[in-house]
Amino acid sequence: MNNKALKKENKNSDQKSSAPKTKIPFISLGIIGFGYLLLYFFNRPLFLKSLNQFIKLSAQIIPFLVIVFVIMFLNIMFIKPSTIKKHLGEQSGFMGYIYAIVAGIISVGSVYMWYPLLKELKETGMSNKLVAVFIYNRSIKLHLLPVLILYFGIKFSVVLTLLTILFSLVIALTVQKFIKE
Amino acid sequence: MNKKTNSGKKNIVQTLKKTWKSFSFSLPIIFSVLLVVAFLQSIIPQEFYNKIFTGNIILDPFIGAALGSISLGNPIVSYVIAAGLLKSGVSIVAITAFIVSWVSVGIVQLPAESYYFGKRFALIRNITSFIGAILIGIVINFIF
Repeated sequence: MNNKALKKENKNSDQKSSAPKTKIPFISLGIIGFGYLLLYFFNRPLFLKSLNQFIKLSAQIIPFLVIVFVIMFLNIMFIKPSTIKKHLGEQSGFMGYIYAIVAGIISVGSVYMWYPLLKELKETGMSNKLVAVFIYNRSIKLHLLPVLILYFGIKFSVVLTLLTILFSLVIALTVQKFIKE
Repeated sequence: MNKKTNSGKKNIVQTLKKTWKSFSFSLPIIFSVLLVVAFLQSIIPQEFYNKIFTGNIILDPFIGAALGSISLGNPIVSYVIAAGLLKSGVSIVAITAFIVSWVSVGIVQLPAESYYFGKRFALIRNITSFIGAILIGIVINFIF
């Protein structure tokens, strides 16, 4: 992504869920669908086996996608980048860690979109370690937790979430040690 | 009062539209990945994964984290791929490192991250996140 595009995203920082305008996902789906069509003509047993597997996988995930949609809606409705900005600025103190963790977890959209805001926050007093905490906690996707639980179970999902939060603090300390503010 | 209710409704409709726009963009990606995973599960024998992921507690998460680091896209894709790999017998240690590094380490994003926060910050953050993904995998392996 070039700098112009990044600056444009900065301008629209409150429109955090605007979908990218690229058609690549649709083109990819078209190409893969065409591949399945070829398979239908040239290797029908493999086509049927793959299709059967695809139906099984889809049936498993579709109900959880509904939950994902609801959580995404609530997130976009109630959490704005401006709210996050308020709690991660110069005066955040120790609570800054907590806010950075929570903000990283609840933030949605591409990470690129958050770079301009984080840079702005850095200029107004946010430390490098909190930037690192925020970015690392983006690995935890609140709205995708139902899907994570579906595939790997509640115990795994909870342990992974807690470990990610814990390691974000370790990474923050490492960043603090090696980079002068 | 009526004006306020109308504005609230308008806000909900706008948010629904925004959510659907973002969500619908993910659907072709998710179904593309499901089609590819279904195909791969049909043609790749179990032995193939056993050759790459040998069960080594250091090497397996390293490979998993490396694959996650160079990948890009919606994290849901990483869950689908990881679930497929797990079903094929790949260890939980490698799967975990793969999922964690998918979002936390970004080789592709590195130039943008360097531009905003400096090269040193981007490198240190990504290297420590990569190591973090491996360590989380190892810890998970001991727990499960």
